[in-house]
Amino acid sequence: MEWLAGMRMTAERLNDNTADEETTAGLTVATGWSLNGFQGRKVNGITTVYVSLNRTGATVTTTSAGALSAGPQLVCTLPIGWRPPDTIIENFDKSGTADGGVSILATGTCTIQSMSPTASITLNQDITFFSQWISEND
Amino acid sequence: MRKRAGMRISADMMNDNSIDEQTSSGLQLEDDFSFMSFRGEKVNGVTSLSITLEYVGSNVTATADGNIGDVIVGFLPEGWWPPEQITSYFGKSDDSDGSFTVQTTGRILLKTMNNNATLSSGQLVFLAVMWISENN
Repeated sequence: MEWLAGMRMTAERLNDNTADEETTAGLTVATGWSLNGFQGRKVNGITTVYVSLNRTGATVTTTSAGALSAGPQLVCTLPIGWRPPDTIIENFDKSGTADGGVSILATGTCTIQSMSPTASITLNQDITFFSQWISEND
Repeated sequence: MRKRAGMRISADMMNDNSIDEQTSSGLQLEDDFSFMSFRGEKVNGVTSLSITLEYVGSNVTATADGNIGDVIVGFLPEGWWPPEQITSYFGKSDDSDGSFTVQTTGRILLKTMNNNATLSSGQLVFLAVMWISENN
């Protein structure tokens, strides 16, 4: 909850941690993916984002050591105001059957870069990830 | 921003979530890791760490089950240790991933990696983790 000039300070208000800002809009999805869901929240200088995407393109495959066969692949870009200050590597879930790594850059780009060895993302399968960071007043 | 005695309370101050404390130094590394960047931040009782390292040791190859034993990375500076052991997730040079543990003594260990993947000299390791640190 944002404080406004003239507000009366109460214990209830001081203990209040409701979201300062929320969004479900503005995520740019890369070719070969469609949006299942996007949720961003901010409270007390912390930002969280939840992203779920559905594969609409060709199958993504991995090597026997877990690298993506075609190299890292951009999946989406977070909207301005919902980007981390520094690179974050997060874990993603692939339709509940495999996991992998996604890098989230300060530019907002989200790029999958590894997955369970020999796993693949086929048409209509989902990837889901969640991330959080200190965003200060951003 | 930490509130200080004598500060005047205002709406702007109450809404301020700028960093209470930050560091980029004090990380102690084992010989097999070379420092690239370290960023520690605290705000409103939450601590966040972001670390990028270059591996400079001999090859570490995960078993078919993804085990790499315990690869000791180093120690976080005092004041930046979690209240309980935390397991998080690391990325390796855009081609693999694994898990790492931060102990309450600040010791960082790589624990697992993608089955059959190899961590070799010159590759980068990215680690990020957050926890509730209260007033510490």
